[in-house]
Amino acid sequence: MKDPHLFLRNVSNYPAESYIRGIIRDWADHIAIPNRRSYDEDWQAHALIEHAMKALLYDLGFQKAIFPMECGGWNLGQTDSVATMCGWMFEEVSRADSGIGVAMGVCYWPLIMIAAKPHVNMRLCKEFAPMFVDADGPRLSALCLTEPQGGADIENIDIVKGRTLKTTARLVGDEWVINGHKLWPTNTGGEADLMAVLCTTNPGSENPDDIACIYVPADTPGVTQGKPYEKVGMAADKNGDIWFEEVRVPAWYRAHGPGLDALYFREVLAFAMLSSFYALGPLINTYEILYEFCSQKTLNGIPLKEHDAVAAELSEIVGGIEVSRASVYRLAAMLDRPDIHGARWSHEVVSYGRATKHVVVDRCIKDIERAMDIMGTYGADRLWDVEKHWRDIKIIQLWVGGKQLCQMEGSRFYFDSQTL
Amino acid sequence: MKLSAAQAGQVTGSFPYPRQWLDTQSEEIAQSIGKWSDVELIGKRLEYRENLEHQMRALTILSKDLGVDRFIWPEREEDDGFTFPEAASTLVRAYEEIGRGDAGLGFISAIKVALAAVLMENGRVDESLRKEINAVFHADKLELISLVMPGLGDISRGARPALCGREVQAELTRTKDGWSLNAAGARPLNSGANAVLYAVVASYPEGFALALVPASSPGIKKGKTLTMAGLKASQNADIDFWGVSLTNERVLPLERSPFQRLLTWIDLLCSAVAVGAGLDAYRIVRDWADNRVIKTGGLLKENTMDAAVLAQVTMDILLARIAVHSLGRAVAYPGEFGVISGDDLAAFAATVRVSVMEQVLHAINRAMEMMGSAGYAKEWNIEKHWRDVNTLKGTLGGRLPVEMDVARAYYGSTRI
Repeated sequence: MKDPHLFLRNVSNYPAESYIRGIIRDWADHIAIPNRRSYDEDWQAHALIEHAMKALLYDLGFQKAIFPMECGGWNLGQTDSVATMCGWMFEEVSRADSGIGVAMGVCYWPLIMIAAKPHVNMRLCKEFAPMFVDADGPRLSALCLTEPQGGADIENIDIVKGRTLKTTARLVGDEWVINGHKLWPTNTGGEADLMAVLCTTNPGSENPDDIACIYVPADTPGVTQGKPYEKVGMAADKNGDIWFEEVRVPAWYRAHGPGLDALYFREVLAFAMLSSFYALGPLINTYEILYEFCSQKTLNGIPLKEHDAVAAELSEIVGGIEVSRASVYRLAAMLDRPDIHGARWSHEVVSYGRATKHVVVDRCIKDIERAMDIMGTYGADRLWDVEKHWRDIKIIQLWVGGKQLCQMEGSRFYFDSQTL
Repeated sequence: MKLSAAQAGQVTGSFPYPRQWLDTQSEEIAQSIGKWSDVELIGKRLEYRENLEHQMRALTILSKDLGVDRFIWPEREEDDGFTFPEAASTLVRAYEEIGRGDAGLGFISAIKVALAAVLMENGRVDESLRKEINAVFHADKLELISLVMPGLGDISRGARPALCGREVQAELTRTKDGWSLNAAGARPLNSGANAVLYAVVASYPEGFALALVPASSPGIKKGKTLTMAGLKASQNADIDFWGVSLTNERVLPLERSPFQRLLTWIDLLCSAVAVGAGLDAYRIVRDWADNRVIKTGGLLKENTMDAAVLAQVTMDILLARIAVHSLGRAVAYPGEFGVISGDDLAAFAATVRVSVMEQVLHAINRAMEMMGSAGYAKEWNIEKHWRDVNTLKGTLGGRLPVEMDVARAYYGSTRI
């Protein structure tokens, strides 16, 4: 029997990798994987999912990871390997359930603005870290971008430049007063404890100084989280509407200030491209399932994996995993070492991330469809888990501006397109 | 200057198909079924989603009130009297319309009709058995037939005889009075959990047979109802047949040719169902493209990149539709198409099925991309078509067995 974790062997020489992969794999194999077939029906109550989230985020402590050590965190944001380590974690968690992977990743995502070097906002870290570090259970954060009128416009910051933002932040004395309506943020639908809200301080403006990222604790008066949307899959990641009505937070809850919020938001978008790992984990698990399936099931009396025609398809899948991993870990390396590859918010890094993400996620979806086709009627059967992965990862292709925005960003950088 | 309809922004596309292959009556039938899809299914999706009771009510209306279950029985049995196989094109239009509403309902209805078509074409069916099957179609209450086809085998069960490269799941042995049927964990194509009759492709020492087994027979054990990604209307379950006794009339010899015929009918009707799902996905994404803007003002459909994606959705469905209508005509009038044998037609049918499923799945994948997160939300209903079509694609066996069929038919491969 081949090592079932062939594709989850270490990608680095860091001793931490084996440790982190080991504890998450133990969580996956004992808590998440045995229960994941029931997660779809748990999309509203999160009774089973909450148990797995608690074990991962609270019991194992991953919700603390992004914060600096002086705030009680693990200092992930200040290491030279933040993105690579996120890769290990997201891959391993998503191998069990990409919804939980996303919920975990988005726990860190809005906090990149304030907890990642070289722009740590220690005052805000100290303000919000206790919410996660001293908690008595799992805590989640959310990044509120999409608005009803705009679809991917918010994420298309280089072209739209924030002029379509309808969520407003008005400075009144020493407080921001926020009004607006956001859709679809991960970890909402009643789950979020802390939100980063992208707003405009001057509606209709194209001046980057007017784009503000402001942190809002979910229990602030005026914040209303709607019920979660019913989706095809990814039940662990709740999404819903959020309304902000005269929501008041201290002025210093703005991430950095005029110009810098917009700049670092591009870095946040680059980190979003690590979402390829949420699709790679399920594809790796699909390989593990296929190994068993193709050894056990036969066609015309011969195990599937011994048919040359099937082997050719299986080879496509492992090729997809290998090539995708190589390119996404390269993105992680670029994000980890701006001293070598340039600033995380640079066009080159963002464009590479966009190009990688849409190709990798397309490939993961196609390869899981390929696996389902090999499996015939069993491919769509929940008992084999592959269809769950297929349903789950489709949304990764659709979010943060979707595939089309990835393509445009790639063309803008690589071909100097001026008007896209 | 007067603008053409297209210049004026009107939709001129019609997903053409060869209308001369259908008579007026066929189009009227399709329109009635189309109305049923619109009223009973599409118009009630938000209310009922994939509620099984609602689906079965809708199928009852289709089967009983609109008479789809009667279409296929000849006039001499006092029915609507379509003749076979000439009715193939009519059925393609009918199943497109059913697929627009719910591919799962289309699937379970298609299996029933495909089976009846093969039995009808088989002159050796015992008269009493023929009446019994007829009664399933004519019962006051909706009744379903579950079909157990050959497919993948399992190493733990040992080598099984293969029919057209597919391993047979059940075995017949002779008894004093007839036959005994045995199978462990057989996976039907459809409706294993709630059928009244199982049609089981089985092997016996001298060949293969189709065994028609009442679900109430002693020795049948149903597994748990399976949860599948799509086709929720098909409540399927693995079935054990433990020494199920069958009379001789219930066991019909099934040579390669009628088996291929059964595959051909299934391929034809299920491909039509998939095209119908694709047509409804187009309707949904067109509505989206008419109303959503990008980059602060332009409609999606006026952006060249998005227009290209939207066009791909259409192009896939256009070609898929032409393919399935061509297959319908080839089934109805093989001579017109230069079909020279059952192998030839079966390879054509399988090719159409595989390519239609892939094209429609690709189209829906792309349509979902256009809709962003809304494509992923149940509220917009396009995701249902996505799940249904991919489930249908896999349930019918995927690409590999078909490639082997084609290699046998076109290259004379003998050892695959």
